[in-house]
Amino acid sequence: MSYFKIIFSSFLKRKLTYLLIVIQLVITFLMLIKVFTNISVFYYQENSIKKYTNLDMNKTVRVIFEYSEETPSFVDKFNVLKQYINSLEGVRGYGGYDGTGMYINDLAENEDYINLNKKIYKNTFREENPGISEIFYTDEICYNILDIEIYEGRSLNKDDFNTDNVEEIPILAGYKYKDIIKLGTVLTVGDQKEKFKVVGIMKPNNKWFSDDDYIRLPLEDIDSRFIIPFTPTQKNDLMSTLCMLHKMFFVLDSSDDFLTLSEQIERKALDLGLKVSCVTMAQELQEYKNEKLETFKINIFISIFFMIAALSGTTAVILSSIIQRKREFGIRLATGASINSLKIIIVGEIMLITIISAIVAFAISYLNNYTSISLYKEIVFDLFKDEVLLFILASIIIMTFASSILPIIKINRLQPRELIGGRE
Amino acid sequence: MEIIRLENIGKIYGKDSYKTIALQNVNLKINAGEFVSIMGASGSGKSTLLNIIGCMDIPTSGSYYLKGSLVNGYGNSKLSKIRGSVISFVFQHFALLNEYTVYENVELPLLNIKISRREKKERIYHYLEQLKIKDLANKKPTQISGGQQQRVAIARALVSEPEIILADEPTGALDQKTGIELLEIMKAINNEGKTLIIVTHDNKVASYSKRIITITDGKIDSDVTNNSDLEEKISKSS
Repeated sequence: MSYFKIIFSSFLKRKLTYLLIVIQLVITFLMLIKVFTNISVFYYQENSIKKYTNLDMNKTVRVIFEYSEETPSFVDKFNVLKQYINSLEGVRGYGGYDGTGMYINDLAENEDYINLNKKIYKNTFREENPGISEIFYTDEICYNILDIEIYEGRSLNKDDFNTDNVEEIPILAGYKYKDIIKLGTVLTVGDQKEKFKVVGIMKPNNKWFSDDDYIRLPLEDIDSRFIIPFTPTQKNDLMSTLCMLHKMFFVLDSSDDFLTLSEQIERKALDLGLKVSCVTMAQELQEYKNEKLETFKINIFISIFFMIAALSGTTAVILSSIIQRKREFGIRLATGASINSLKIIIVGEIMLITIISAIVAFAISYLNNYTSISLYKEIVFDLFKDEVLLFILASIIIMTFASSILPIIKINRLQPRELIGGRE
Repeated sequence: MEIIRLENIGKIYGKDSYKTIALQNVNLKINAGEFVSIMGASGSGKSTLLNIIGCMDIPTSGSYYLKGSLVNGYGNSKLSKIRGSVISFVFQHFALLNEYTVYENVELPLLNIKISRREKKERIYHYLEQLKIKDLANKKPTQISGGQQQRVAIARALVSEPEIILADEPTGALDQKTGIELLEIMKAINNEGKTLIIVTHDNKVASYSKRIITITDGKIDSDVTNNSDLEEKISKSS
């Protein structure tokens, strides 16, 4: 009979008591996993921005438009302000990006492209429209702050962003299209007024800021997207301008100039009849952290509370089990078992309870995430592959250790002669 | 050959006004292969003596030599090794684990010994067969009679092939007929060369042994080793 059999047999004998402890531990593990994934996602965002971009968060400033109008005059005012910011000394550039979907004539009729998109768009809102291509329009400054690596062909350069009167606007295609779209291919959109020439295929795993909220939402995968400099049509289009408003950035030469330049920009905006404010990416990230921090504090507090309750519960049940099993331990000692082997049995039982609880909690968390509609779902799934498993493993070790301290002290105090009483 | 030697062994439980002297100045030598009975009234210290000899308890004073080695200074780990290989116990109430089968109960001492699975199985079945309980191997202790349970306890004591077997009132929970059967088994074990030490207050049980030690108030009162002395001692006691 191995230790495992002894431990398992003891577990089965006390299954009802242990089941109650398992329930308590499952709740604790669920809370711990929740806190861990939340914190990981929280840092994931900051780390992703650092990993996939070239930007200095203290020098990258977002211009927040606090008021907008759906009028052509608003677009004109916006373009004037844009030019003004670009002309300021100490500003490296001002621009934005806009994600959209559109039919590219040549691709919408390409069977291979459609079939590939059917796979890519599966289970997304694009599923019914595999002919649509996902595109990020961008200004030079945004393209430059995102660290786009090229697999084949070339990157976009300064001249590529001057798209006025250009016959073929350069376009970068996502890595997943590398076998379908060849370099030099000319693509047309709609009535063929604008033509795009594929100048590069991007490497896999390039990322772009979220089209909706670059701070709060995860960076987007662009392996199945196209990157295009803003076209003349886009630049003067009311809807495009309005969509881009909350994704406009400028980059400073020095963070020391932030206050001065912000004031100048805000004053100029007022002169134009616009109301704007400037905020650095670092400030926005900090604000996001502050928002999350309160929730984290509550979650951490609840987790600690549950953990202490679970540890106390486990310790109490195991201590009571030791007292109930004095006779068994006495028999084991009389037949040659050492005190250490009794400790192994007890720690093994604690570990078995903890492992069962951890497995159940992991399964529940995994299924919960599977059915989740969170935008971070994929990130959390990635965490479940490695980080959550390691975290659970560490938690099992810590909780087993913490729950074992008092039972081990109790076993150390057992006197073999006192253990074997009368009949069971 | 001397296997057990106790020199001025004393055992005190508690402290100050709660102090109880269980044993005092016990001097005793037991040779290998002896069959010894330790007799005495309740609370006389006979079980304490058995526990000390069995390394289940440590003396407060004196020296305990087992096979020539001083045991006093041994730690828990060494003492448990002695209990697992040199000494085995048979208890009054059998001390079987009711949730385990007869086979698993007999297997207990072998869990602490390095032995192949095959040899382990062979040894367990050998002793189960010797004690005529092989058919009960898969039964739980609660499914068999008291006599059968004590046979299981003896099989468990023998399976680690110890040199010394200590029995604390081994027939105390059995009817007369079963008790006699069991004593015959123990006698046979002793005849095979094992040292047998039985704690009992029953003269009939003691009559099976070749030496009777009587303890009174924690001291050895008498130590009768030859057959004539033995008969005299038994007749006086009865």
